[in-house]
Amino acid sequence: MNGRERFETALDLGRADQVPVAPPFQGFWALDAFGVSVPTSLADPAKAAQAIIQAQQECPFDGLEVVWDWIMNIDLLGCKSRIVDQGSPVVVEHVLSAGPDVAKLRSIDRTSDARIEAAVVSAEILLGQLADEYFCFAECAAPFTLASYLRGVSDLMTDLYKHPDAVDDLLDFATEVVIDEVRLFASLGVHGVCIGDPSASGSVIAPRHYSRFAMPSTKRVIDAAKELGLKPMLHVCGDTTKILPYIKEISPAAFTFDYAADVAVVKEAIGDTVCLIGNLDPSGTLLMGSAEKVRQDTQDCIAKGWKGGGYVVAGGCDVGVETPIENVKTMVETCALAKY
Amino acid sequence: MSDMDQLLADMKQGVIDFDEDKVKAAAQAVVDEGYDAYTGILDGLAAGMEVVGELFDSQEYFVPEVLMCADALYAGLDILRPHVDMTGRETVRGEVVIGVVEGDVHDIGKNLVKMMFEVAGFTVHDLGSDVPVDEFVQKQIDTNSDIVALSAMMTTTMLGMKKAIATLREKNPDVKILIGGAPVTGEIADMFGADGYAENPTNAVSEAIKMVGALRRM
Repeated sequence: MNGRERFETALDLGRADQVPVAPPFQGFWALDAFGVSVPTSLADPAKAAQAIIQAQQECPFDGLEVVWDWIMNIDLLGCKSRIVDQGSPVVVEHVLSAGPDVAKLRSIDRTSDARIEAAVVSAEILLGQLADEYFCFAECAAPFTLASYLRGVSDLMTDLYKHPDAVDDLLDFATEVVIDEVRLFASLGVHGVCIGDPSASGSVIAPRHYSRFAMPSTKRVIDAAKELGLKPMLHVCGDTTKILPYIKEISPAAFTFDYAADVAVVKEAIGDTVCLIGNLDPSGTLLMGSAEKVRQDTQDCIAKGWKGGGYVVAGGCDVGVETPIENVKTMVETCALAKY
Repeated sequence: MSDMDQLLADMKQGVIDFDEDKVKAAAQAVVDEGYDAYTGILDGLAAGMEVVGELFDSQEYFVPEVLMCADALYAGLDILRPHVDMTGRETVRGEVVIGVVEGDVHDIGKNLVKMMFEVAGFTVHDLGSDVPVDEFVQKQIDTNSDIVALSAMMTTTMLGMKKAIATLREKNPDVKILIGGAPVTGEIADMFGADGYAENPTNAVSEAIKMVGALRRM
């Protein structure tokens, strides 16, 4: 099996020839590890693609992201980002900081935006080189997280109590934006899309708020992705143990989860219908741990998740910038050795 | 129960229930009745926030609830603070520069720590988020603050703290440096050369009080 076949077998809840492995999100890490600053990656997307390919050659994941600028729309929507040398651009001004006035939001004209253009160019190069052999997906923010960047995270949190109707309107708007983005990804030819929802983290909002606010809009995006022929994956940070029933209801092809949740518990709750992706500690193990710790933690994950298939080993969240290449390689190699 | 006990209980419960009106009414009554505003802040508002912290730790409250409670606390603090009389009190307080480090805009934790510092009577100079090291350095020099408190919510930006600490020390060897944020641990604080580690907002204040006490004795 090649990487793509292996990954897709797992997404179909099957058992591949060896344990599949994914970062889950490696774009910004790879740029930095192979000497491309974020400003350079936007000015010269071919260079960006080269860094991703070099990373993939060193650490051959079965599935990887070919679009990593996961909130690339945010400035078009009226916010202001600061492009930093390493890692995701930082949103420093929120268009709805004065209040949840959805009427203030404008629709997007994607025709000329440096970030989107760069993402499209680098994705096309990467798909040309990698799509036959590896599962290639695009990463983007879920509507709830997008809404939190439009409004400001802190203000959105209190809006849940103070202005729930306005939050609903904002989520409707954000859902349309994200579905439109997914349409763009589908047109590029990615195999799948991963919707990331850090603001809806199990450690940040109560399960009832996840169900009331994040779940409906997320499900609409996941369903739209399926209709477009993409494999939809969902990532929620933090301890997501209590929202697993909602994840099951959303029914993505795969759920990528953080190290705070337990693989065995997640497998028990949703593993019969949803592929699992996770969940090494990105900070304590991958970034700061020894190679031996990475090996051990990878083996622990495999032991808990591999039975019956439908499982991909990965970090619990982004591969952090400055994570040693040796550690990432160790995670990948440990999986390659795990043939069952 | 004396009137003041009832008012303290109302403020405490008002913070826990994020009932701003209840907190404001009780705080105003403290002022109108001539009761001690400082006691109102500590034994009413801060006591409520301590329970809120426990509810957060036990996963009954999450970030939206804690922020609503903080709003209620501030409503009371705004009323009581102008009437605080520190004469004759044995207190160790000081000045703090606080901010979220460069490249990071997650500021909820930092804002809660800032609030607790203000409740405890510190003077806080808040630099906001995405703050370059030089700004921390300059503000500390300009204000002669005892403590610089650095926050980071992401592993990447947390790594930047190491350099920030070294630069701050170079410019002022006596300054006390406190760090905190989701990826930060006591071990990392030691590794980076910080003087203290804030596991949570309440802990941040007790660490800060120890630091200022140490500085005053120098």
